[in-house]
Amino acid sequence: MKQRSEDDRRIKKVKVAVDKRKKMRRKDDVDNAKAYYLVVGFMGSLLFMVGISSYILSVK
Amino acid sequence: MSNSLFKSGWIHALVMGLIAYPLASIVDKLVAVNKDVNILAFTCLMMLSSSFILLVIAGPGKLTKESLKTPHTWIYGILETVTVAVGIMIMVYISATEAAALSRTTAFFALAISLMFLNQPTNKIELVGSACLIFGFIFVINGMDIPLETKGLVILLVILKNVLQASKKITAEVHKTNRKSKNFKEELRVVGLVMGVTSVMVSSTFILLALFQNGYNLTLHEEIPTIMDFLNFKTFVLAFFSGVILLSINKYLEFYVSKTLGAKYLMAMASLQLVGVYCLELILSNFGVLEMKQFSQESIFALMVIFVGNSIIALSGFMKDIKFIKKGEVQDTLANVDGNFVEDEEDFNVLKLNLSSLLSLYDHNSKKLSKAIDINRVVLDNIANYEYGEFKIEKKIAKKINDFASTHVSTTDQLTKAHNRYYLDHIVTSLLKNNELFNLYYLDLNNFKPVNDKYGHEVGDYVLSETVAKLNALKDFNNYVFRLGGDEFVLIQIANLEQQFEELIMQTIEQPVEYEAIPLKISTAIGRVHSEKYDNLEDMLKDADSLMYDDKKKS
Repeated sequence: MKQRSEDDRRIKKVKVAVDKRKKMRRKDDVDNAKAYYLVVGFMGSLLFMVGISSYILSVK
Repeated sequence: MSNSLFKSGWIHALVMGLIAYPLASIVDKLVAVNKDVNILAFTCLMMLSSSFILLVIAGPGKLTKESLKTPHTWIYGILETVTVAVGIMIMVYISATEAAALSRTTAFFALAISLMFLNQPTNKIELVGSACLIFGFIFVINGMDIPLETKGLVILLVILKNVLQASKKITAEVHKTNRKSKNFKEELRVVGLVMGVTSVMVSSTFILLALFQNGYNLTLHEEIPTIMDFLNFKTFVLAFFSGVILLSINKYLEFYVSKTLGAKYLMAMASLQLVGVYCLELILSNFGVLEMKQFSQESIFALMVIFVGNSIIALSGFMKDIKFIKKGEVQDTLANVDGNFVEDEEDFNVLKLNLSSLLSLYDHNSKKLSKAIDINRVVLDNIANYEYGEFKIEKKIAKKINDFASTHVSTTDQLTKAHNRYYLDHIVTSLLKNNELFNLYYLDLNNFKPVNDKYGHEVGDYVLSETVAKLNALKDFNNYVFRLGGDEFVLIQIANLEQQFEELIMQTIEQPVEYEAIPLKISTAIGRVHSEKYDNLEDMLKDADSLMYDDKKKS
């Protein structure tokens, strides 16, 4: 009886840990995507701005 | 075999040294002769473009946040910025050929730094290669046509630049997420992010310098670009395509080779650039695109010596890797630094089993175990909850856990945390072998069985644990408290042997115990023997047991 309740408690602990990990992974994926689009967006807009400005200046 | 050779990084290094680096070098030369284009503005825009394309190809995914957070990324950026700045300062004093020859001696600096800080051993062949590089370095410096007073400064700047270059490649070698990246896309993503941070650092440094020059109407250095140099359409187009096609490939190869071969072999293989550039220049000069540069005999000699030195180092590295390549493995260049990881499933399962036993010994409290073993609690929880292949465990952590388990699990009684009979056997045998005198006390609790029967095993277990806690508090026994089984305990006294502790032990055990308001009265019978006339544990226990039995009968 005591062993079973101990086992149940351990299984519950593991389940909670697995759920926590899943949540953490989801959060990590979202954070990674946010950071990626931020960097790519920044680089892209920088290149776009330099490209457009230099083109306008060269045409003038 | 060919797949292993590819994975080992030597093919990447060959492509990098013979094709990618020479192509980039030729493009730099073509740009440098173009008066409309500022080479620094070109470099900054090229880095931005390469970073952008690498990230676009890689797409979003793992290691993004971690790459931006890791200090290696920022250190790489700082090193690149300072290297570019020192490079411009040197160009004032020395010719492009001299600069090229001197920068090819970087393998020696990488070798020295790897030896000092990464525990990467070197061998005699590599020392011969290094000697060639030092000789070539001195030969080039000696042949420089500059006044003696500036020579000292130039030597310092050249050494600084080479140290910076070597440190940059070593940063790529130890870069946390570069080493973690497992597939092509992850590798591209990491390189793209490092280049992104680097390009922003280098660009903002030179934009700030340009603004400073503009604001104060100064010229700090003729190569430092103006804002208009950044906004030159020709510069932009050239930089964009060079960055997208060449620099992105170069940086990918550089990071891959750093990770697999290590910085010193990367730098040695990079000297193949000399051959590649010569061949490309020969081809292009035939088409009239580029004028073939005429080298002096001294320059050719110095370049040859440096090339030979690098080739010796590279060959030595290749010979070392051959056994790994044949076995289909990749050598871990940082194995001496951070230890490699548990690869075998059986080793992982043994580790999990040991950790599970340790957790059981520490009441399934990973915080308590973490303190005792001095390993981060998160690591312990991860090992306990993850399965094989889900995450990496360093071998040194696995060894620490296994060692701790073998000294604690096998010697400790799970219920009471007293030492067990195996450990008693080990201690007594060792004391007898060394002819060390000691007293052995054999204890058997009185009235334990009625307590167990009346209140249940839970209360009985509590009494046993409390008894051990009380006995452990007695300093005269140095924690030599052993549980033989049931309610029988042994104490070993190794100091102050003239003193006898039967009374003290009895008083200690008879101190009242309460379990959930149930008063429990426990006493003990004791038998003591002295080790002098014994040569084994069994006889000692037998005599002590008989003395204890007499004591029990008396009480």
